[in-house]
Amino acid sequence: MKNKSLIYKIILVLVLVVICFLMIYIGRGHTLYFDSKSMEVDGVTMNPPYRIQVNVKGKEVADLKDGDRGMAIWIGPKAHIELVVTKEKGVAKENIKYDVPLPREYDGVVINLVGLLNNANYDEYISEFVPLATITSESEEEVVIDDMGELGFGE
Amino acid sequence: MKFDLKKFLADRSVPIMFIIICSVCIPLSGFSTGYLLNEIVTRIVRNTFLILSLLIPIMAGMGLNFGMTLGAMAGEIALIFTSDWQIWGIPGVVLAMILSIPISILLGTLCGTLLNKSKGREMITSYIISFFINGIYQLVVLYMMGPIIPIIHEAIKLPRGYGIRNTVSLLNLRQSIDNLISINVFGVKIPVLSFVIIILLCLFIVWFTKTKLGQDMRAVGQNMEVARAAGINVERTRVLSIVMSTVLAGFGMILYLQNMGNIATYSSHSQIGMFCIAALLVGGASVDKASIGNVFLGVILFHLMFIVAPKAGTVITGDSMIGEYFRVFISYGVITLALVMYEAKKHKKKKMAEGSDDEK
Repeated sequence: MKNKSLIYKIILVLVLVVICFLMIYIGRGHTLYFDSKSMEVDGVTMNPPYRIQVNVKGKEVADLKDGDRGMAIWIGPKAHIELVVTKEKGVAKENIKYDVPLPREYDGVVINLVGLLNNANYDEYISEFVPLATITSESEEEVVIDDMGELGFGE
Repeated sequence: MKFDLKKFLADRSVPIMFIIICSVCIPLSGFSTGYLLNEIVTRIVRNTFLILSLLIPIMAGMGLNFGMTLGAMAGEIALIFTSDWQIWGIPGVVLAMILSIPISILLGTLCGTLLNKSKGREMITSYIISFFINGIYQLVVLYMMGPIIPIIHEAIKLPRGYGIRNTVSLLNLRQSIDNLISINVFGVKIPVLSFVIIILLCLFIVWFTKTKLGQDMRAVGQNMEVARAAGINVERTRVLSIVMSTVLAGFGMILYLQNMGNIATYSSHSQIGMFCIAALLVGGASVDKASIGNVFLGVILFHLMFIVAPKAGTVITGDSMIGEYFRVFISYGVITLALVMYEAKKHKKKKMAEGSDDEK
């Protein structure tokens, strides 16, 4: 009876550990930055189309022309994005769907849509978003410890 | 059996008092029905899970568990990790809940064991334990997170390089459960999934009271000596009730904070026990008796007063702070009143028992 109970407990712990890893895998959040900028691959310059509309989860998140950048957030290991591409002004639009695997180690991922559209290598169109360094030094934050509680009752 | 109006009113004096206060304050505040309903629904979703976590220790005769703060701290630590690992949305909430379980079990066992050493003084002991553990929480979060416990992101660390900031943003978790399935009824947003979770917990509590362990807890709550004579391991049962309450409080705190959208690292948990207990008592519960109905009535009345009192105070006195003070002194006052009434009842029962013994 005791052994049986112990086995149930071990199974429960294992199930919870598996769920934890699953959540870490499917719940990793990224901020995606979509660039519509010309890029050079193997000496060949790829130029952006006239206009790229980016849809994420059925919603338009960016409408990009040459040199523009758009942004969206994505939860999960692969970003499902839909690009509505207008190659030249007045030419018919083309819908293309992509599943872009996202690197776990990056919080912000820059996707160069020009590279993606021209089937460039993964490493060439994906890069890490590095925020611009700020010159102002941050002053020390005073830690507010509230042992006795404030009047707000956690509101 | 004759209906005793005096007893009926005396037993329900606190909720009746709150109904009167609210019915005076609502027209004075001038808030629309739609606004009040929206606010009440938000607060039911935010607080009910936490308050339900108090029911099990009351069933086991351990009174109002001020130690639920321990579970709240466990929930906060789990959310800090989830935020640092950038796990967003529902997976982030689920991960935080699972991560909080071992911390809650550890703290709950510690609290339950200490409460077994102070039988009859559980409430004051659990209140002081929460301060003691708060000191350890501060040590962990303020000094150990960074140099000893790895924290990757600078954004949640203090500028000095270790310790967690006063506020941790949960923007990417914010209302992920509330918004997953929600409907709009006459302009009132009803977060269906959150209500389903609360109802599931209510059903669990109802089911649990009928299990062997639930019956053991009831027996221990009614009379420890009789329960012991019946072969129940009283100490273990009491510890289990506190562990269950702490784990549920941890889950409740995670649901509360995902609704709020940020963690006030050093203060979110400090008053959570106090206002959950106040809400439960406002609903008509006592130190030794509480039901799911008390929880819902308490959340509605207590938070209705929270919403309308500042505005009503402004209308009456011209100063909104009067309303703020009013709602705070009412909250502490109701806890005091409930404790005094409980002691008075106990004293009366004891006297009556002594009287009947003398007659024999």
